[in-house]
Amino acid sequence: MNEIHPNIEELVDYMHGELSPERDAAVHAHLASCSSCSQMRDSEVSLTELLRAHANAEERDLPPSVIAGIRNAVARPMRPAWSPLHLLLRPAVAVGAAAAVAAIVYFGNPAWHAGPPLTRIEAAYYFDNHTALNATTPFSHEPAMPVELTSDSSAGEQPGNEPR
Amino acid sequence: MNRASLFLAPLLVAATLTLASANSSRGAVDTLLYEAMSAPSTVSYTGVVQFVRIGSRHAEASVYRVEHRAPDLTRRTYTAPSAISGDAVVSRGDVTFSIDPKRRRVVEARNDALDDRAAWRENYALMRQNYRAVEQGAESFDGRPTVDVLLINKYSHRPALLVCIDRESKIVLDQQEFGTDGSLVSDLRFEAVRYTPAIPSGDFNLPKEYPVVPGPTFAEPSEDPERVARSAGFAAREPRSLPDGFEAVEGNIVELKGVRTLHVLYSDGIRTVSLFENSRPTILDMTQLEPEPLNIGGRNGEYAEDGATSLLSWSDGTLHYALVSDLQISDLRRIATAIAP
Repeated sequence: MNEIHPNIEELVDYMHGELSPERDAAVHAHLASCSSCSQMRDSEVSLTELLRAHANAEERDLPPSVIAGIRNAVARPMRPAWSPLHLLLRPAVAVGAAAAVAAIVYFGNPAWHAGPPLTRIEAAYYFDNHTALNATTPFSHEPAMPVELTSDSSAGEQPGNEPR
Repeated sequence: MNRASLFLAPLLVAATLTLASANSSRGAVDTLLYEAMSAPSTVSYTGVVQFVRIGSRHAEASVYRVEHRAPDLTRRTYTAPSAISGDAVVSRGDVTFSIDPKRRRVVEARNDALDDRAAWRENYALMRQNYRAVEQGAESFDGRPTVDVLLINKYSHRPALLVCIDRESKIVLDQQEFGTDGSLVSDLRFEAVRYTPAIPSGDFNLPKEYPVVPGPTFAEPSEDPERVARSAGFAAREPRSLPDGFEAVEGNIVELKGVRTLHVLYSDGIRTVSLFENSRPTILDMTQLEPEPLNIGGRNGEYAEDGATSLLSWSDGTLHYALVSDLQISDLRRIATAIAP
């Protein structure tokens, strides 16, 4: 009799035929003569049967169309993930798609087909640039009050210009 | 020496003396005006300034305490109008810091034109070319001995500017500007003046608890407006005629809300008018100014005033124009009509 008792992991591997032939033979011989290990094996088999029965009760067949799709996919040769983009690069598809996108953008924005957009410039920009260039005029006095303190606009939107 | 020579000699001497006297007089008043314009760069002072600008429909006034340390450090602390009472502006050379306690921030602005000494001298020469300076004699202002100088337009013969100059410091204590019709346009009075170099540096400090945010920046203009106009990127137009004595003195290409705009300043040395042109479709927002429609050479335009400064805008279908000036609307309309194709 083999007195070395297998542990639970080894018993599970035995049940699934995953032990080496030598160890499989040794465990098989041990179970025949060891009641405690044999009981453990029986309880493990019962638990496995219970789980399998529960899984079978919940099992549903896949729809035939999904099964057919999977079979086709397996049968087709593998393509890179970006392969659908090649379709878009075909002239007939690309020109049509570009025209459709342009039409959606153009007609989706009424300001575009009503003429160029108008830029709104506050009068303060003109007044402040005029005052700035007046700085070297003899006896030109400073503005009556600081524009920055009387304007409600944020600092970033204040009149001014950028060097060119 | 014959009798004729004997007779003409005293006349020649008298004429020479008269011319010399006239030249001497002109030299003296020129020296006085030039010293008055330069005085803030050498004289430190404190005082209270009252400033009034009068337009045809609106007037605006402000009162502020000023502390100035030569050559270019100035603090103005406003006491009126109430909307900005307590606010202050500190300027150091061409940089201005507006201290805004309500929004708890400091706005930094820069005007590179302030450093342009060459433009300053040329504008002075233009002023003396178009205006006759007449010394009005000894006066007194706020208890200080002063001399008044009146600048009279050589074409209209009307006074344009009266400056009251402190005899000792050469600081301008009162300055009155007149419109082309002779009416008072602005008055700047400097009272309770005290000359002292001992103004503590701390008076010009910015509050440390406020962040400094960037404000407007104005680049140094070119003194060759024609060259600037050629680089505008569109066929810029200029007025076929201008008021007497006016000429283009400075120009710039500016970005107004991203729109490339040509800005040319015309001046006669005292009065100025700015012409803005751009070729992009733009709307000039004058909603805060109660604009009025105006016909300009058969085209629709708009006119508005901000205090004593006027704004006139119109379009010829290709370019969009704006004129900004202290000139009267009749003058602006003439300039605008002279631009129309």
